[in-house]
Amino acid sequence: MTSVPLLSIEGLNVYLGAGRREVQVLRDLNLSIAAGAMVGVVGESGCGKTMTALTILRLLPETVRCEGRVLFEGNDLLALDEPAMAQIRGRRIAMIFQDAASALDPVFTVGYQIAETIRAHFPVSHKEARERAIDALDKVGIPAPRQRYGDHPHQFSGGMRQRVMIAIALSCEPKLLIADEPTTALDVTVQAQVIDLLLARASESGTTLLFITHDLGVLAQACTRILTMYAGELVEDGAIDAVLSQPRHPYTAGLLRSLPRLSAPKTMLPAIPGRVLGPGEEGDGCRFAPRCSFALDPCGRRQSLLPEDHRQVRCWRSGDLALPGARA
Amino acid sequence: MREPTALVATQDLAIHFANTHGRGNVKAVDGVTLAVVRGETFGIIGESGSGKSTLGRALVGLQKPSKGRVFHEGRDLFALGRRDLARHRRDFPIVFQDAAMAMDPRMTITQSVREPLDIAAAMPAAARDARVAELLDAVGLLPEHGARYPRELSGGQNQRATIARALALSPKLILCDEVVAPLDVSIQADILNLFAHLQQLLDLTYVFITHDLGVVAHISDRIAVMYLGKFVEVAPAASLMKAPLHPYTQALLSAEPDPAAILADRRQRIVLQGEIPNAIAPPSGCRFRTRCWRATEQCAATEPPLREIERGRSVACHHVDRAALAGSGSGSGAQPDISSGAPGRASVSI
Repeated sequence: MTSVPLLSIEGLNVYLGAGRREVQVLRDLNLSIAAGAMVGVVGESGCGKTMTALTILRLLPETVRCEGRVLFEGNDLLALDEPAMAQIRGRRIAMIFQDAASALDPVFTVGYQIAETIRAHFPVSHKEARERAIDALDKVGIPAPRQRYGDHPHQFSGGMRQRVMIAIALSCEPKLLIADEPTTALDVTVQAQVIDLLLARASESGTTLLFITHDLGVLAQACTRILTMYAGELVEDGAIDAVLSQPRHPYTAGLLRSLPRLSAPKTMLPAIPGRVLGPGEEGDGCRFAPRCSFALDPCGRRQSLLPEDHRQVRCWRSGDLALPGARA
Repeated sequence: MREPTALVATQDLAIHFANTHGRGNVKAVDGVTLAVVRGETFGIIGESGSGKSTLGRALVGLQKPSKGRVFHEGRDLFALGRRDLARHRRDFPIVFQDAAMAMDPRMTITQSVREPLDIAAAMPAAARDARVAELLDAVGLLPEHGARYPRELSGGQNQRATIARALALSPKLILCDEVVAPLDVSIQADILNLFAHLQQLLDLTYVFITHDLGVVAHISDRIAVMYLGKFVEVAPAASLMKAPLHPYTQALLSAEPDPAAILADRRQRIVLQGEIPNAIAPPSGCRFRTRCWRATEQCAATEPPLREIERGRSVACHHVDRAALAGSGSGSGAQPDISSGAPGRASVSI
């Protein structure tokens, strides 16, 4: 147990849109991540996974309004001015996006784009930056990095482009790396390579990993702790083995059950009925209650994230439910 | 090879595309023989670039083969005249990956679902509206959804609408190309349930193309594993999942992130090196040998034919894992033998 967490989010509420069209996209988010942890975030689209990442990096549009604090290495990121934030972005906290093809600039060589990042944060010469960039390409397993330095993104395959993104993200040795669906666009055999690479490089450099994915299998491979988000809220937070084998929130259990791989073939899959509440849609009680088959009277009132044996769950009924988990 | 009962069959089908940037042809499909039986779900799994979508397009008559033939109920599809082919295609609709893109944004759901009926003029105009209502109901959409535009529906609802449109002319076979890939798991489960339900109700035949092993295993009766334009393994779904025989299938199964399997044992993973080679100049001999940990000189010299190993199970490999086959009965043979592999080709992560 380290005394001060690397990242701690306290009472975060995020609103988007101006005036009367304002909608809340993150609700009462509380979490802390210790240095060196490998943390995964799951949830369906629209649950606030990417919003959380963009809030940490302060990459949200002008009209955003935030309440609460995002403490990183003791500083409240929400209170920093833009130049101070620019010093942190890329240098202390880096991010990898889903679509490497659009995250890279098509008109510059990949080597230039890595060197550019290094020169933005370190007082090094062009030559030194170039050497470091070649080294970074080498470390992510790009063959013949010296020759490939001068190639443009379109000359790389999808898997290789995502390797380049990892090289850029890790080139400044950030303390925290946020990977937002980094392997979703890749084939499974290439996905396995990229996850292995990401984990190996992150643990080598002692980088803390926040891994956002909708794929529970990918998460199980990469992380030791899992956060489940639903409709802008954190609903479950615990160690990966415990949560997957014995989920305590009905939504986590529902996600696991609806995976085709875990059901008998040619049977009906237990789908989660209905859809996620949109950001503008308010409800008094539990936001999952309309889709939850266990909902009872108390679920009409709001519940907060409560600790219960080594994890935190936001559910009135978690104590008296025995939910099925992943079993081989 | 083709059986009299096959609804759709191919014989040594090849589809090559001219390479606009240089010499050589892109061999998207290179010698595929298959037979899809009425009422079954035939799954085709492969990574991007394996040729699975091109094969699918040829199966329903949208892509003329460079070599070989496609048969629908015994008739040579591409021997038909243009008009006959067009009429014939009505029995073989496609459902695509991106449902919102597959619908005309300026047409309401009712108009889109009705369009095939209007074009085919299969029934009096007055009867068509009733048919549309019936179709929307069959796929689980409410009557009021019919008046909406694709942008007003969710991804899952749009996919239901494209399924309704595919059903409009009472098809014999539906080609499903990555139909659940962009959907969240809970919605994906809904749509897969719908496909299963419709199959029972309407006695449909599906060819299900996907890169997702979990999806294909759940929905299919038989699965073909495709790599670089060829089938490397064809087997009943249950036996394929229990005891994959081709090294590529074994790698796919082990790379597929399955939470339960990962919890059970984190060590048993085969991580292939490299990526799928260029289809312009595929490797000599076995096309998978450049990424295979079992490859020998024989694999570079001669191409392994797709051979029937067991009733209904075919594999194209010189070094079929007999132990896995023997173990398929007891259910313990799912783990490939990794220790005997040549070092450097595949790594096993710990």
